Amino acid sequence: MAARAGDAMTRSIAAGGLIVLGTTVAIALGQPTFRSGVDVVNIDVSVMNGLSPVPGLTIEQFAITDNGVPQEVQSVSLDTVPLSLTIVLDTSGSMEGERLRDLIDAGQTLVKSLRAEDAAALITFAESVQFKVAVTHDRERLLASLKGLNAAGFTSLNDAFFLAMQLRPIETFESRPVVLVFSDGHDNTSWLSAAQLLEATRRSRTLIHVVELVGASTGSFFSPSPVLGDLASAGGGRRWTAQSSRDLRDLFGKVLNELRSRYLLSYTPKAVAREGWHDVKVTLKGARGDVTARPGYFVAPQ
Amino acid sequence: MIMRVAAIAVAALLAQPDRSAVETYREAVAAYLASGNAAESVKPLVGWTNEEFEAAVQAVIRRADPKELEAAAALHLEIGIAVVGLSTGGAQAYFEHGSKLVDAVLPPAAIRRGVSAERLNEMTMVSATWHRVAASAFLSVNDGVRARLFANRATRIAPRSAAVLTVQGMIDEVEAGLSNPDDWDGVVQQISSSRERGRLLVRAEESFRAAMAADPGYPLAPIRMGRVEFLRGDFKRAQPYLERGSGLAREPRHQFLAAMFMGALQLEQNNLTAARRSFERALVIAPQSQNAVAALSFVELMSGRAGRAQQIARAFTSARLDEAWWAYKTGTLDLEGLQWLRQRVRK
Repeated sequence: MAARAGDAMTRSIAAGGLIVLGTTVAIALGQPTFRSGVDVVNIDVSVMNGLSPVPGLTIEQFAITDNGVPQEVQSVSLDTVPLSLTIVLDTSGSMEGERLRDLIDAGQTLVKSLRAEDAAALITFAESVQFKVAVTHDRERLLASLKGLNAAGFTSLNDAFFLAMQLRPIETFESRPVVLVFSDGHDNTSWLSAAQLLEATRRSRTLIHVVELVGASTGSFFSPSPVLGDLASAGGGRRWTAQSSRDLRDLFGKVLNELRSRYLLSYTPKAVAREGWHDVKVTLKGARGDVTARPGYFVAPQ
Repeated sequence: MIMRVAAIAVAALLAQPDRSAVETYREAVAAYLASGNAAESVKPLVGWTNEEFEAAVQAVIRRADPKELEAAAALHLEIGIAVVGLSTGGAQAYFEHGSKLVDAVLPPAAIRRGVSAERLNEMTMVSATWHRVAASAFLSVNDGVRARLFANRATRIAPRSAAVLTVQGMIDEVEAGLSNPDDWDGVVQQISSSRERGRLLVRAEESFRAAMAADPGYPLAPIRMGRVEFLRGDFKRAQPYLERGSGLAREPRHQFLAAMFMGALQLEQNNLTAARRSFERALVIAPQSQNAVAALSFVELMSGRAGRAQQIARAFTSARLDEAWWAYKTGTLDLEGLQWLRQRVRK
């Protein structure tokens, strides 16, 4: 389905990819939101050299185009805003046994590695989506919930992915919502299609990382899901693939490392129509590295 | 469903009472007849081998008590449905025994002359419904092969039944849905998958047409026919079928399916207002339906109402995973047939 509508701009549509700033207060869902004729767009950018973040880049080394029009980068900073991490784990039947034990271990290590100011939530899915722990700073609750996971059933990956994006914490300047999705399989019981999920992801303004367990160890004849790669790209994050469940702990650590090394660029769009889809491209000038950012953002017609 | 399975699994660890197997089996059936509680009634039987079940089932068949046969068959159906999500092979074993029991209710051809037409029709309906529900249980876990096995038996018993014909069509429809070209990277595999999908949809259409001809008042056939047209991308043809099915639907699950399929169609036609109304109606019928929550939240997001999309998702709490939840989730488990059989047993 084609993208046709979007959201009212909010003061902080952080969600990992973009922050649109404004000045007129409105009320939505009990949270203050702001509107303005002049919007500042913030873009959450990862610059990596292989699996290592590239530090020390300056404002002069970034170039941004908005719908093909070069924009002036106003600020750049290494992002130090606390994370609000939604961990979404596939606990379908194919994860039974050693894989689940490795996943629990990886999840617990990830939770223990969070900083005190970071928050996290836990969602699991098989055919049903289970909201295990709402966003919290309470590590013990998260660890206990992880410990009690068991694996059974089919895979409602699309629905879980979508609902996790909707359940992300209300955006504030004080935290950066990130969704980390783990799955070992292809969807087989969701209502939403992959195309619908992709469209929702483009509008979610949530930074999304996907960890996928592939290869012979999964017992699946499928190759890595092309959909998961597309979703990670649309969410401004990456797809990380594990050949064995034993690799999950290390991969989750790498995701966290990457999350801590992102740049926050801001610009005020000029010479582009305000409403509709904005195709954003970020490149480097005089520096080397793989740049990852959301492919754009959507502004709803007023 | 999962909790019921757990209860049965725990009971499996219990030691067998020192009584004859047939007696124990009959007591379990009697307990189910009295209480309707399958998970409790079955406890003395869990851990039995297939041979032990076979011996007890044959003994009950030899006794030829229609009430006991029907109750035992229903109990096997309950157990099979409870375990089908964990083991389709295990479920099949329970269903095979149940199939023998329910077939035994129907008198052999040689003595049917002495049976009233009304009783014969009644027993035919029981057996056909029983096999149809068993087929739908496999269909709900995407096991088309086993679903077909039991649907074919239902067809032999009641070849003109609209409900049975509809289950046959649903097997093809679900298998067509599973034959997704997008799951493949290779072009050859994509083409092959696409052709298979087309072939299955044609067969599904034939079954649904036959069902609509057999009983124009049966709502599920036009609802699923509308879904077939939707899957083909023929939205113009899908709409009147869904409207017809929706108009006929009296059972909540049928109304729910009609609303969900209609909403999906309206969404594809970019009629977001109508899609919202359809999914809201579905959510009223089944407030804890994950499908309806995801669908409605998605429509709100596409409508530019991200806050409302979040609100709907946040209001959703994961429901108890019983067979009703499962029936609404997959849309294929024949909940009405199962409830009808239960009510008969408890009469």
